Amino acid sequence: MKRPLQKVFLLGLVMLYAIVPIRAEAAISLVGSTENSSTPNTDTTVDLTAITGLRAGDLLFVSAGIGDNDGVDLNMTVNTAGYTKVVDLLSDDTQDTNLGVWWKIMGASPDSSVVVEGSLGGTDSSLAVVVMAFRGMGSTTPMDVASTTATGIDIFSPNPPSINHNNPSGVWTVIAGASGHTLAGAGTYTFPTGYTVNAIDRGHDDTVSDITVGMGYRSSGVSDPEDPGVMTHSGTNTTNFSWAAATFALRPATAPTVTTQDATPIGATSATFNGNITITGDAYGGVTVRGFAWGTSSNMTGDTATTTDTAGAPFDTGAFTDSSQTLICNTDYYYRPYAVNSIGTSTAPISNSFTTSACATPPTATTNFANPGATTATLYGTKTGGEDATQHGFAWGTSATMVGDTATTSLGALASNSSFASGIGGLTAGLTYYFRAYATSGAGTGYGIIRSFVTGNSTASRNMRLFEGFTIKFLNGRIILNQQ
Amino acid sequence: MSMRGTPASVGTALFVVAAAVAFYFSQQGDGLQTTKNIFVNATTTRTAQVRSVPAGWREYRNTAYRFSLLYPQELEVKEFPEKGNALTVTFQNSKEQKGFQIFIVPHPELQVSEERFKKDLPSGVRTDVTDVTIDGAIAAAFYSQNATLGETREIWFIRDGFLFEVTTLKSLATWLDAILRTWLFL
Repeated sequence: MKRPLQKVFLLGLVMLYAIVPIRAEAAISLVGSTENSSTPNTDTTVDLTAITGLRAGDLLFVSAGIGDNDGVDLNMTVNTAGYTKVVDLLSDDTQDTNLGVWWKIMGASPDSSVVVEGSLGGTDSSLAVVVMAFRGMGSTTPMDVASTTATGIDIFSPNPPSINHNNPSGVWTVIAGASGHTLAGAGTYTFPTGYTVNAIDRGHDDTVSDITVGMGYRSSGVSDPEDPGVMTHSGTNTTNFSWAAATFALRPATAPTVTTQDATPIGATSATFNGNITITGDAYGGVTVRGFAWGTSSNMTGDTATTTDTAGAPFDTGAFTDSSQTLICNTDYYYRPYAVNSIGTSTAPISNSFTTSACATPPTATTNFANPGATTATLYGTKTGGEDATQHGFAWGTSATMVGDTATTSLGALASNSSFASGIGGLTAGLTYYFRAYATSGAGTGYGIIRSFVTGNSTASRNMRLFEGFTIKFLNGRIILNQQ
Repeated sequence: MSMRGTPASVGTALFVVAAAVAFYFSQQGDGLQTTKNIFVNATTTRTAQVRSVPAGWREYRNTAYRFSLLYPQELEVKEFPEKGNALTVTFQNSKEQKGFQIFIVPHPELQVSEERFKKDLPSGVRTDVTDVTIDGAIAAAFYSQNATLGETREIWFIRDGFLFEVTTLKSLATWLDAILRTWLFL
């Protein structure tokens, strides 16, 4: 039996998601990039406001290169808090290459700048920094696997190493490379095929040692393993030059994964919907909304409503329920759970149908009569049917329509169809009163008809109805009845 | 047989009713309010009882006045609603010359006044008054005189604010006693 939905809760955007199954594709995107360099022996500050739209949850990659000539591992350092160093390389040749790479997930207030320590190489070194911002990675473990690194001497074109990742759908690879040389002037890279778009490099010219640093990424056609190829440095190479490089695999965050469990328990006007978030998707901010689309349509179209649960978000994996809906008795329903994160909304398969329990029948009551005294009366009624009453009694007063100044007696629950009575007092003699019996339950209230009585003792007297219409004679001790 | 002239017969309290339960009236004013002036201790809800009916008998059940009795199946039952929430029920078979009637009238008092007695028994006759028990209620059984029936057997009792007057021909007194033993207050 299908019936229209009686009660519809939150609609809107989530409703749209619920009606049309939306499984957001995992997607990493480039937010932007920027760069800077500084004079020897001074820090380099990169202005992150140059990256338009940088926001919470974005992944910031900082690659810094220092060119030097003393073969010392400089232990590259970022002075801005919160950055995780994943690469720190030294390629020792006549012209050394130091490469450091850090990452950080931007918080609610993204950094406006990042500062790289510039004093490590002294006055005969050079420092250059490039920054790239990405969006859409896993927020807790944005790297699918650990980065791979490589260094080389006698050549200044970095060769980022192959990386063997888990090949997640939508994986991106990022390469960072630095070259130590003495070419003076800004060096540039020609990135390997597939890595050229938006690649950035920065050269710095020092009187002794020069540095070029660059980053690039590949957003499609990523092999597993992925061997990026060489970042070809501009200019003429010598055997005094060196390079260092690293390769990263970015694992995209995904929309949550949700499953459906059967409704239980099921009542006449209620049911508990059951769903389970099995994968949160690791998007920044976590699962922010969960709930159920529900309705009477087997394909969840048309007459559909949606519950929205945001209390306690972000939600971890695990079961969740909703039993707050008021349903119609003896009706088939369907539902499907959904969950939302910043990547998108996922909906689970539509549940098996369930049927709410049979409709409860409100109790029915009959008003029998009143037995009035001068200032008291006893009211009589009967519960005649329907489900058990949670309360029963009488309404009474001086209004013929039982409105206004009306009182009520409450005799409590009544599980059987049986008669009942209430005594009332404090009445005014000679006055007409009106009353009716009632019996109520969660399904409704049944009323008897309104009857009246006049206070004062009954004036009725007995009529002899027995053998009415007959004459009675006694003959030899026997009764003889004759029809009149 | 008649009690006419019996000095002790009039002016005394004839019927003491064991079923009397003291009503409690919360007398807190004359106005009607939602919670006051309600007493329920005297008349509580009772659950329905299912009776087994022997072969050749039938059950008469009156949920409004809350009693049940078994009667021989050859009797015809008729109900006569009377004014003032009163009711007369007759059980009779004219061919077999058997029958009785029950008159039920609201009666909030715990005793039957002389005025009430004469209203229903204008002859004023009552003889051989004895106490009998009707499903736990003490009743007054006596003989009387009726203008159309002649000598009658009367059994009167009060229960839950009602006066029950059961009447039959005097010659059917024993027959009626057997029926009244099946009386059950609901």
